[in-house]
Amino acid sequence: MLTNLHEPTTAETGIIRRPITEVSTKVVPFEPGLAYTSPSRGHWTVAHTPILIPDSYMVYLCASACMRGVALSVLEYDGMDRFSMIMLDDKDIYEGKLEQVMIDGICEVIDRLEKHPPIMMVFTSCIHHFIACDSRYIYKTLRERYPDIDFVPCYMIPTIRKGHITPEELMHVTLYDALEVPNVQETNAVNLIGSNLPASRDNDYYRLLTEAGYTVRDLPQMKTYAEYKDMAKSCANIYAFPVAHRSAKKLERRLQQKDIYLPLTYHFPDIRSELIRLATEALPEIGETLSDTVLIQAIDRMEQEAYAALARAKEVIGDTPIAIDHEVLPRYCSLARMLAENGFNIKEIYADVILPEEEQDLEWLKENAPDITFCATTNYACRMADRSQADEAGKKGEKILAIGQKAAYFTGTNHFVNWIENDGNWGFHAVCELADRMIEAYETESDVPALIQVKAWGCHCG
Amino acid sequence: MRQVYHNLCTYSADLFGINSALYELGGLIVMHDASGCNSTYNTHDEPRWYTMDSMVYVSGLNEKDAILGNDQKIIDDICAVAEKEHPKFIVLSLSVLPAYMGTDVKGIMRLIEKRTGIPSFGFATNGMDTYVRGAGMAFRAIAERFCPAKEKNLSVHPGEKDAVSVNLLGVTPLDFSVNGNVEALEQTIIEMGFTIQSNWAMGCTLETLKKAPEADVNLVVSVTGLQAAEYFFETFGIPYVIGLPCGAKAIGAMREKILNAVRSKTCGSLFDTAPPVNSDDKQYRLIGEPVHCASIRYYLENELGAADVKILCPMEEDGGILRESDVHATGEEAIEAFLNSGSAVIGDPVYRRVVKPDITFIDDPHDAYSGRMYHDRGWVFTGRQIAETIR
Repeated sequence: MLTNLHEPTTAETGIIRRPITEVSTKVVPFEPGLAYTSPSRGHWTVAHTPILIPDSYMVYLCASACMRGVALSVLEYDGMDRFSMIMLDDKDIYEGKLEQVMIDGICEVIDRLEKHPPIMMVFTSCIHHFIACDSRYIYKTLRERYPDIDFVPCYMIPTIRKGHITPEELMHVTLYDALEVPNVQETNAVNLIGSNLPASRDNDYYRLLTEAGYTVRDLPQMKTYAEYKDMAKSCANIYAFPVAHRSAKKLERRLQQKDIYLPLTYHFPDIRSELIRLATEALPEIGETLSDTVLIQAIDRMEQEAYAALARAKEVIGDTPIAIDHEVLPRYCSLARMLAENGFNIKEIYADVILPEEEQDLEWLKENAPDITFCATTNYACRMADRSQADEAGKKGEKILAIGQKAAYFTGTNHFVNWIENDGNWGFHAVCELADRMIEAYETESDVPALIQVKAWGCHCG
Repeated sequence: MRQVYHNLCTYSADLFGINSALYELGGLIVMHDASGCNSTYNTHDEPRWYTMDSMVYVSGLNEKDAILGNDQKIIDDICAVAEKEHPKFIVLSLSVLPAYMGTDVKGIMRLIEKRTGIPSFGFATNGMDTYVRGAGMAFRAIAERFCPAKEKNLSVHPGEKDAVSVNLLGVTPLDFSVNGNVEALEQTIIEMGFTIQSNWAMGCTLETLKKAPEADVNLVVSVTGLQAAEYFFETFGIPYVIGLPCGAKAIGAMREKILNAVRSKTCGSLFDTAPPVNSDDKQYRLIGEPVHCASIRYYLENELGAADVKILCPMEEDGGILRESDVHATGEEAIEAFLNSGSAVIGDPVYRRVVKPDITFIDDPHDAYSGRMYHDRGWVFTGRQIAETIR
C-alpha cells in the first residue's frame, strides 16, 4: 500500500498518564514511538546475566557504539578477566569477512588465556544476522579446534525485542544451552531458573522443597562450573518469571525436565493455590512427603506471617501515597491489588505493558481502586514529565513512598524500596520482606540518584 | 589482531558525539537504533542526563521494519513529536544496522523538514567511528544551518567591539566532563582580556550560537570544534587558533596567538612553534583527545622541562597538530607497546590495565573513554589549575 509520507500525523502523541480504568492487557497503554530511557539502570543486561555461570568467559562481537555499553558495564563490575571484545569495522562487513574475523578473533582470545575456560559465551550482534553470517561453520570450526570448551552462541540483537522472542528470553534460553543430557536424572532435585538474583531460602516453595528433601539448584548461588553442569540432572525447572518460559520449554524438550511455572504473584489466594499445585500436581512427591495437614498448616502459617507484616507496615505508613513500577516484578498489578486490599494508598503504577496473566488483578483494580494512575516510562514525553511530586508533597509535610527505581525517579521521592526482580523473593515470604522494606523506606531517605544509576542491581554493588 | 581487546575499552561512538554536542540546544535528537544506544549514551556518556532535560531518543527500530526498509515509521514518529513539541531543529543519526541497510538519512530529513517546517538534518554515522567525528559533524552542521553566509549582515561586525571576542569551539562533557574545566576555561579566556561570544556548546543556547559570526576569532579547544572553525573561516573569514590554555605559559602564548590571528586574519595553533630544548630524562606518553594531549605536552615541555613527550591518538582525526614522532593507533597491542615505551603515562585510568607497574601513571579521566567511572578522580586541566595535578 502506498502511503503519503507528507501528511501530518493524526496519532495521539505524548500521552503518558491514564486512569487505570482506561488501561487493558490487550492494547499497549501508550503510543510506542521515539523511546526515552530513564536514568534508572538497576535491571540486568546481556553484559551481566552471563556471569551467573561460574567460570564463564564472554566474547562480544559488534561495533563500538554497541560495544561501549557492554565494555563499561564489565569494567564497572570488575569482570574484565572474563571478557574480551572483537570490534567490527567497515571492511569486515563490506568484504564479507565476518566469519573469518570471528574465528580468528576468538582463537586469539583463547590462545592468550593462561587456562581454557570451561564455557565460552559468544555474543553476535544484529549485523551478523542481517547479513547472514554463517554461524554453523564458525561454531563447528571452533568446537573442532577447542573440544574442551563449551561454545554457546549468544545474541545481542535488540531489533527482535518486539518480535516472537525478546532478547531477554533468548538470553535465558542460551544460559542453559551448555547443559548436556545426563546419564541419570535425579528425581529429588530441581532447578530454579529465570532469575538473575539468588532465590531466598525462605521463599514459600523453597521451604516446601527443602522440607520434602529436594536438592534445589539455583544458578545465581553457584560457585563452580560443575555445579552448573549438574543442573542437567534435575527433574524439573521451577521459574517465577515469564522470561524463562521458552527456556523451560526447551529444557523440557531437550533434557526431559518438567516445566513448572510458579507465577510471581502477590494475590494471596493465587499464592495458596500455586503452592498446593506445586505440592500435589507439579511435584506430587512433596505432598506425599508432607501430609495434607502439615502442608496446609505450613501455608496457613506463612500467610498469617504475611498479614502480620502488612499490618505492621500499614501502622507506620498509613495513607501515604505509594507508587510502584514494572521492574519490581512482572505481575505488578497483583502487588498493587494486594496493597490496596490491605488498606494501602496506591496512587500510581509506572509501566508500559501489562501481561495477559494480570487480567484479573487489573480488572479488580479498575473496579476497586479506580483512582490509580497508570504512567508511561519510555514514551518520549516522559523526558519532560514533572518529577516534582515528592517536593510538592514535602511542602505539605507529606511523603511519597516508591517501590521500585523508576517509581522513585518519576515521583522524585527519596523514600523508596530499591527492589528489582522481586529481590529474589516469592510468595508470602515476599510479602513479609517487602512490608519490612516499605517501613524502612518510609522512615529513611535514600540517595536515589546514586542507587538507581548503578547497573544491574545486585550484580556487584547490591 | 588489531580488533581484539582483552583489557581496554572503546571510545564513545559517533552518534553519542552528536548527542553530546547538541544536547543543550533545544533540538530533537534521534538515534536510529533498536535499543541500547540510548542507555549507553545516557548512562556512560552523558553526565547531564539526570539533571538537565534534553530530547534525545532512539527510534526503536525493529526487525520487521529493518528487513522491509520501512522508513515510514521513523518519519511518522519524529513528525508526531516535532509537531507537538516544536523543537528548534531535528537531527537523525544512524547506528550500525540502519547504516548498512542503506538508510537514506538525508532524504528522510528533507521530507521531515518539509512536513514540519523545522530545520532538519541527518548524519550518515555508522556506530563504528568515534565521538570526535560525530561531534565535529554536528557542530559544523549547526554552523552551516544557523549561521549561513547569506546572513552576513551582522548587528555587530568582528573588530567593532572594545575587546576581542572569542567563540569556544568543541566543548562537550565527553572531553571536558562536568567538573569545572569549562568554567576554568571561560575564566581563563576572560582573564586574558577577551570576551566570550559563544560556547559550542555547554552553557549556551542556540540563539547565542547564531551570533557566533560576530566573534573576532575562534578557539578550537578540541578536535570536535575544527570542522565548525573551518566553516567560519571559509564563510566569514574568522580565523581560528587551536589549543587549550593549560598552565601560565600556555595562557601567555595563547593570548599572543589569538591577538595575532585577529590582526593577521590567519589561523594558527598553540603547537605551531618549535618546543624548547630540554634535557629532562623523563619520557612521557600521553593518550587521548589530540588537542587535550598536545596542550598538556605544551605544559610539560614549557613549564616542567620535559624533553620526550609523545602522544598516541586513538581517534580518526587529530586536527593536524601532532608531530611525526606521535602515533596513530587503535589496537590494544599497539597502545600497550606505546604506553610502556616511556617512564610516565598521562591517560585515562582504564589504560592502567596495560601499563607496567613501575611506570608512573597520572590519571587523566576522559569521559569519552571511561564514561562515568572515574569522575571522582577528575581534575581541572584548563587554566592555571593544571599545576595542582601535574608538577
